Amino acid sequence: MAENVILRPVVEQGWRCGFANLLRLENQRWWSTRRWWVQCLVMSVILNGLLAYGLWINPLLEPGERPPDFVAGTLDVILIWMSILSVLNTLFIVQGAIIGEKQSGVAAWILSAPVSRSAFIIAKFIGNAVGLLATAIWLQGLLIYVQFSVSEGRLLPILPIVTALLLQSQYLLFYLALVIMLGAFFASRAPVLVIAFAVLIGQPFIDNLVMESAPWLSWALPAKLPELARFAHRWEPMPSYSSIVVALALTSVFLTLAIWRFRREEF
Amino acid sequence: MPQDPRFYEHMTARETLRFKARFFYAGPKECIEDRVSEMLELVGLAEKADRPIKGFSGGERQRLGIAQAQVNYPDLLILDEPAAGLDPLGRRDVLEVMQRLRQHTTIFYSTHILDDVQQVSDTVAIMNRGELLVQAPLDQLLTGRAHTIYVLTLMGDARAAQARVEHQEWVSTVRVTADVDQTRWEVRVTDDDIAGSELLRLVLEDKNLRVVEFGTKKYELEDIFVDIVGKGQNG
Repeated sequence: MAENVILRPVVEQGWRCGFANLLRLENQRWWSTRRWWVQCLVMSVILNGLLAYGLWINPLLEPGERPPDFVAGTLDVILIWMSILSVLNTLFIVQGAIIGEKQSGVAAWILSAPVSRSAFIIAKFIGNAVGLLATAIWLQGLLIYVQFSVSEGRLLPILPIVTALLLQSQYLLFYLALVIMLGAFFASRAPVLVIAFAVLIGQPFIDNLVMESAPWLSWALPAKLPELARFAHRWEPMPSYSSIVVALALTSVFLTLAIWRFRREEF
Repeated sequence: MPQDPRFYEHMTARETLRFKARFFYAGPKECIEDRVSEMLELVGLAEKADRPIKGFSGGERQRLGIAQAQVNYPDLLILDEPAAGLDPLGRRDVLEVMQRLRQHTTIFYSTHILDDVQQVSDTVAIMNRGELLVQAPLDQLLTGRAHTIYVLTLMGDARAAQARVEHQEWVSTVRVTADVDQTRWEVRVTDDDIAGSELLRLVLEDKNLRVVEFGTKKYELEDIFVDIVGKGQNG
């Protein structure tokens, strides 16, 4: 056999052991397969198709003056759709990311190489975060911005839109971390989906229950992030920042728990 | 390598080996590709290198498993039942890979297929219920443990020769099995060196005897295994 001398050994240590290779794999799964363009196409058809209808087709069918807050109002609707679709997209794409590999035995195979378990979880999070954010939030945000600017015949202020997209991104990352954590804890997809949907659907219920009695709790729910995005794109002061802080904290807790649990997984 | 190695089904064999190699080597890229190609050649998968693994047979998966385990040239390769559950051709291919690989690395593997052990092993350890019962070079194990037994097949009247042999100090027992025109001896000896030089000469002193076969008794590993572990117990 050939000598080892020419090959340069990997020098990653600690939690980073194997991370670069795993992240490369996760990126390849997004960008070297049809996944990226299917996601782009589906999200674009729904979100920007909806917007295109409102901006270009509906005025032809129902001619008339646009209301004064047409742009802001339409953007409200689009951002709500974006938050719903991007979260559903995240649940369906990522629900099997860890469980599928645990069930198939691929996770055990990967971990037989010099790979840290933390790197396994973090690479899943970052790789999927980049893919999901790019296809479901930022590309759509760019197309939405272009459509509105062309429709209005002027460039809209970019900072409010970017801030709104950042809040949408944080909302997506919250659910991504949740699903990854659930994947690390459970051995089948059913509980992952059930719990994630319960969190998704349960938050508006809690919001309705506590909105009057404890508004501070209502504004601390991560589900309020899309609502904050409404304030952001209108460039209005936000009523509270607690949901940003809570979502950030919960995202970190979910990832920490995912790593903690995965380190104890028996293969 | 586990008994049933699993990979990403959508990946090709080349992509799988490249992925595994990058856990050990940062570059250069062309050297990693060379290593991947070398491993594909080693396990005989070069022609299927760019096909998705989902179309691979059990034997091909096992060979790919060996290739990915060997990609960083480990000093020791541990394989768990590498030929278990394979059809005869798949088994043959895996054993051939192991034969080639044993020139480069030490292979430690477990198996219940004793025929495979005889084909590719240098040293054998027999375990029962977690206890190591015996460990020895395969040749030594197959030849016999405490005493060497010589096997002779003779034609003609062997009684005089048998008496001569039985009188030797280095002979423990002579077990005779008579056939129609042949006699088979199993001579258990205490000194292999003397027996090797003297036994045949003693027999050939009798000019009427023809020696049809002469050699040390070879056991099948299965005989040894059953003898050591005991019938009716699980190995």
